[in-house]
Amino acid sequence: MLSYATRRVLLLVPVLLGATVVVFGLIHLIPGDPAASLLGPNSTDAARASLRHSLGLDEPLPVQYGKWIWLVLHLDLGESIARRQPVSSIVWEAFQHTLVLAAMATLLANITGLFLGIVAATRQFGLGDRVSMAVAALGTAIPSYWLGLILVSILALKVQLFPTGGMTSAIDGGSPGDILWHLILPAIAAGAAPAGIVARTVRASVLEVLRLDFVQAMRARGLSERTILVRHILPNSFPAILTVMGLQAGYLIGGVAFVEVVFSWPGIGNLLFLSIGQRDYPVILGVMLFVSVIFVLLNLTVDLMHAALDPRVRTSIST
Amino acid sequence: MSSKKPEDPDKQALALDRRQFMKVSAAAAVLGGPTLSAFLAACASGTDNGAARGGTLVYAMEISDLPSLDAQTSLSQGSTLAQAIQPMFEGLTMYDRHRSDIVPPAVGVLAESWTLLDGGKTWEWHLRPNVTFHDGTPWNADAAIWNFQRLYDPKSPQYYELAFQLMSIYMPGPILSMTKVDNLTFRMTTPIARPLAEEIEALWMVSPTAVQKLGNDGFGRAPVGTGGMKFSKLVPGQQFEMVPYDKYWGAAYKLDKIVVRPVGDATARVNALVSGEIDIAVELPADGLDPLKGAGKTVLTSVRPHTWEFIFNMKQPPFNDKRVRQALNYAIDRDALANNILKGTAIPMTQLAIPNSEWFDDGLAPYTYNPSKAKQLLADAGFPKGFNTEWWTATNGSGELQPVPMAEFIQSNLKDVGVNVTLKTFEWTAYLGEFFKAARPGIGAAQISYGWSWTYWWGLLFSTEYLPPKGPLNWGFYTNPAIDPLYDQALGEADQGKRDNLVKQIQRLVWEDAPYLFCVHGLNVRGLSPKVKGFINAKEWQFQFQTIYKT
Amino acid sequence: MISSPTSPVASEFTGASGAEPAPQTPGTLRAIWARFRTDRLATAALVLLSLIVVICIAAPLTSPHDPLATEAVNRLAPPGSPGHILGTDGEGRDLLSRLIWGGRVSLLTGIAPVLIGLVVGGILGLVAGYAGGITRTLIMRCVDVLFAFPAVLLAIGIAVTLGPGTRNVIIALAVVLVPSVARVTESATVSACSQEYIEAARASGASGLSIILIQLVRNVASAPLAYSFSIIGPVIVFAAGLNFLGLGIQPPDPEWGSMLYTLHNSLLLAPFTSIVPGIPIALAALLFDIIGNAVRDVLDPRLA
Repeated sequence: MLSYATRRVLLLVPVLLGATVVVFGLIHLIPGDPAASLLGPNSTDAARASLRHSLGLDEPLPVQYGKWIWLVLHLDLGESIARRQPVSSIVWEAFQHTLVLAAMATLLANITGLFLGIVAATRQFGLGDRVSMAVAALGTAIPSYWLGLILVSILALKVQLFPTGGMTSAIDGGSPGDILWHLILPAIAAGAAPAGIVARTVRASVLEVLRLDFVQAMRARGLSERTILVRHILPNSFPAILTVMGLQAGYLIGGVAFVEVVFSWPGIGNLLFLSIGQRDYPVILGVMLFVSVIFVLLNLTVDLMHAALDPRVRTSIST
Repeated sequence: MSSKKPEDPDKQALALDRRQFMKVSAAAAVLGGPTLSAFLAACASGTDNGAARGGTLVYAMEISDLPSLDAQTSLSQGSTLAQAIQPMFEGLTMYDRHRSDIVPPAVGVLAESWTLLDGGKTWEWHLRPNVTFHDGTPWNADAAIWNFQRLYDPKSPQYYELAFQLMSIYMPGPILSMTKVDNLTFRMTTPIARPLAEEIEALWMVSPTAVQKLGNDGFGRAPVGTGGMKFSKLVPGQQFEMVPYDKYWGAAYKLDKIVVRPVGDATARVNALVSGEIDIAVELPADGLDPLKGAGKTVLTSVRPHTWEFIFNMKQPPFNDKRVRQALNYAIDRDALANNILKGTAIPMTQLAIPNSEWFDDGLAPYTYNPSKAKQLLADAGFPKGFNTEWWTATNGSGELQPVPMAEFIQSNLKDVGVNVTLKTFEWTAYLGEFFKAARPGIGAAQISYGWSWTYWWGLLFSTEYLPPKGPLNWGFYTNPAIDPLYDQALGEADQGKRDNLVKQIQRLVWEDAPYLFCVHGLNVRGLSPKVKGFINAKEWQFQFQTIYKT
Repeated sequence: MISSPTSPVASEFTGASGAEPAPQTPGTLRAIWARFRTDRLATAALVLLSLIVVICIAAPLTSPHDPLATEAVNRLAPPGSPGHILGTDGEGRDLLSRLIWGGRVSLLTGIAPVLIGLVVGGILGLVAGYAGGITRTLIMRCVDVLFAFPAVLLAIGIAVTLGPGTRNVIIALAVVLVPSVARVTESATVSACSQEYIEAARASGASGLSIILIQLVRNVASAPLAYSFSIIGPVIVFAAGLNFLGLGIQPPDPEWGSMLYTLHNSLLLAPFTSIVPGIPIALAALLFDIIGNAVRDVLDPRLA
């Protein structure tokens, strides 16, 4: 286990380095000019050139890359061109907001998925199975942005049960209850697809365990279905289920971007979208880099957890 | 594109139209003429219940972010941000947005009066006494000069290049010198006579102490001005708040608090208004108006000097042929565009000046919707079967109304006369980047919207002096040698009436040459919750918050 | 124990995996055909999907109106209006026609990236798994780098960089998919290479190279194929989402996702019209999902 863990951790370095190159190369290929965005429509050529110079944007790319990496290693992500605030604080704040949304979406998805999956597995080929899997299929097929629009249309506009967007109310907002109220619709929209995936995985996993001999033995011994389910089947299914839940949670960090845009939720996806529109290079770089680091660490955690629970993985020679 | 300064009186008959006002104030300036408070007194009588006050107002800005709140860099977003921070700041002069009957003139605010010397090349400003910034710094000649130096004097320690680059297009031309006369008086000299009272309306004064203490960036997060509301809180990226300034020199603001949120998506603004999450929003899409009214919200429109057009690339055949350009102007149905697509949030353009402004020329014939005439002109020019072309437009942006549906409608109209337009669209920021590169081969026309405020603008757009790359706005390389002498004359003309006449002559030439596909004038569209009272629908890019309160 | 991926890849979209190769099944196509004959749901889905695809491809024939013809006076007409079964959009264009024409783009941007990803990722994975050593490490490390980014954010970043246009959305999505396919294929290839028949083929001499490759591909193919099939639905949703954000198709050309965005401005005015474009997206994804399940069950029964 330890050698596997060490190997995986060491792999982080080249991967992250490569990620920085990809990120840097990518955003410098974006057409458009941050100076034009910052100075607005009424600026002159000379003014924009001057601003570009003061931002260091006219230096050769490798030089800019070198300077940027140096600062990053000192945990300095620079300053946002549009907001003139440190990028690290902007990104960190937005990331926390995304985490909240992703966490809630994951929670809803996992609860729903577990429920649907267990119902399906324990009533295999019956009505419960078919209905649950149909719901799961619908969940994965319905686009999150579409679901978001429908929810807003019905629950925020037709009847004003929920807010139409944002994270807090303008007046006296910011309390956990207020944020929760704003959180519900986007979390449902974002969580529908992961719910479907979790449901399927739970069903498959539980079914597989159900087939095993020891289950028959348990039944023969007269244990109730519920006891068997809770005390024996689920724990055996956990590794696979947890893996999927972890993966879905990771996917959601990027995947909530569409929902963030629809609901104006001030998270990473929305931030990326907006800062791309503003050609706010430092923020774009900061977001992509920050997210890739988090994502790599998250994947590492999932892998290690998976390896800890399933010994076969450690001996696999790939990656 | 938005600039902040209309200058057009309205059709409703008025004792003082702008021209008369300027004459009166020029004379009165020597005597210490009309001031904002006088107007306020005139307005206050009979407009609302003097005792009513209070409430927290939530205002939605039509940008997606919270940039620096520094008044002197706010114009990078057009007038959007300026509208939101307006309660905190004041300038030497400001538009009197307490009037809704006329296009408001600029009146003295931090300057009580001014005197013109040396044929108008030197302005002597007499500052209002007993005014303090929110941090207690006194308002006086030193503070005023400090502010101007921040923008125009590279040798001063407070010089802020970014601010200069943003403001330079609003107040072109250098300031030759500034001299303090006494504690509340200073002089400003420019190379030629300029209507400074209007041109510096956008330049709002900031506290020198605060900028020195916090630095430019820090000041942007905790701004300090002289306005009736002061900055109280900033939640980065989400909202900022303002509360009344108890030592304000003028009439107290009625609201207890103003909360400003960025809501960049027009539909989101409509939705938030409908659901009651916000109280006031502007720049609303045409489709949102009926639902708003259905939800019991108030929708107000007002005229402003805005134009939406496609600029032809004069170097790209066949647009170098005037007949083709005129033909296309006869080929589009501006009424349908304004009334069906934009649902009355715009009016058809019959000329560049808006109706009943001092540049409006009753004798100038509009381009009517006449497809057969268009085809005739095209045939005369050698295109009986029409031609293909590629045009560019943005998908969104300040003052852009709804560029894509509008462009598609125009595309459809032009197809009817045989002209096949391929549309290429860009998101606003990318579009600006492309637009500033000026016209290139292969592009037939590019869409843009402009605000029309002052004489200088006509030069930027139409004189040969400001062809790209010197000036950013004459995208299509339009030139007409007859315009230059008219423009030069107008610039130096101190008499307003003569100046307006010269501008009208320029307009005639431009209208006939048709370097643009003239489309519509966009109107201000303002949506209010019914709980908002005391709102004055100013015929200007911005409205004021001072008289507003909530029930 | 359910077969689990050795690395976070396949589960991202559907919960499917493809870590180890399916047992060699001769007559796979026959098996699929047999499966469809008994699975009525999958057959129905296949028929419906084929119908949709044919209608969209044959747009010039099936579309009742010109999708670009605007009628300013007839904006946002409700469904059932004369001449417009599904109503009209914000510029008075027939909604049904735009859905049909838009389907060509939406389906293309959903399927093309999967195909490209399958080919490119498959080849990369095959080479990496077969060659081993430095080649393998190099390829898989590059793949890892792309895995460092959440799919959505990476796709947005690439699409914005490349600029507007359908082609660029396809490229962006293909780039996002290649790593997953590559990993699945590489895993499968490595496992397959350790099996005896490969050793035997190798031992049989130089000319064995082509035999190896054909044998290998035949054995390994089911994993990436099953995986690719299972992600077509989500990719269609994803591609429409990128168009929804304005990154792909440009007006006035129709596409399901971008229509959804444009019409969301009319959510209050014409709620039904506004959400209609989302229906074909969900429907296509659902149908591909049902068919994909059936195909995967055949290719890799252990996942049933």
